[in-house]
Amino acid sequence: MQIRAALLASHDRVWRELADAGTWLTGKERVALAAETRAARECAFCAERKAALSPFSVSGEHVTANDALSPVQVEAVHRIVTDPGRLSRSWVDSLLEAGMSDAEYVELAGLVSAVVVVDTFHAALGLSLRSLPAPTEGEPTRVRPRTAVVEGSYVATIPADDLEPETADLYDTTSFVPNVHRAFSLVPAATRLANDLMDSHYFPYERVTSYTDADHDYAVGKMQMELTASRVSIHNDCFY
Amino acid sequence: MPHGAEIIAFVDAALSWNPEATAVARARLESAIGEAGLIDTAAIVAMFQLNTRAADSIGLPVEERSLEMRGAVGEMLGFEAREDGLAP
Repeated sequence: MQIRAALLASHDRVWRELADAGTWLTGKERVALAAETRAARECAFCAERKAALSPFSVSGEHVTANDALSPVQVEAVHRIVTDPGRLSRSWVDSLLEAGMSDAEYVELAGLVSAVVVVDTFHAALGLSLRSLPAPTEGEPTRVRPRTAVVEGSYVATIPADDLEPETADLYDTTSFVPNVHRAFSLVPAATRLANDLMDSHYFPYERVTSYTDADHDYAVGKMQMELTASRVSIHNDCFY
Repeated sequence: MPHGAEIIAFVDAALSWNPEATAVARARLESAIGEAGLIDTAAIVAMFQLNTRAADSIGLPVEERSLEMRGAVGEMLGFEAREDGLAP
């Protein structure tokens, strides 16, 4: 199977960054999050909650992959993986009240989502999942962007018109910057990783609303790509 | 939509994480659009696993611009003229 080099390179980058200390989490925690991402798909409690009219109507315990994570981290990973369409402000607030910081939550959500990208691609094509990397030593940078503010989302994001020199590369402000591009911007490294995945798998965020079939050499057309994206959104019950 | 049914079946199977069902849908899609098309479709399936989670985990509001665009499409397709906005 001839997989484009850009796709492979972006997956390599996810795995490389997964092993390293991030902005708020250590390499050991990040690799544990990846293992938990995979375990969530087999979690009987998650399956029962997913089938319930309300996820809060079912009690139980998650089937976890390891003991390196706190219960609140496990809960966050499992819900983001298995029931993303029913995440709510009150649920996110409950994680924060249980001791998780807003920036740690964003790093977790971004990392889990990136691992899901790589795993989904492999599973869809019948390829073996990548082995998880060994974590590297190192301390998180713990740098919070100064211009991140709460603009209506559950957590703070950096407005499109308030980038500082150290975050100037995050968005293409010469075009319309969709909110989904700013989702993980409380942790700029998570946004950069998502940018790399978008560029290699689809289109840069700022080109999504304007690209035509004359702008790419993919083997599928725009209508087919948008059908694919819409079908995934329906599966995940995505409001946005 | 060229090969729309095969694309939908592939997405449904891939997101079920059922290897057997995915293999069947994958073979049908590859037969319809070729290996390169299959890989490109898998890449978009994978990418939107992130985009949907980014939006829903962060609780993003939908931009006014997006609402206007979607409203225009709904109006063009006649959804606005039907009770509860149901598709024809």
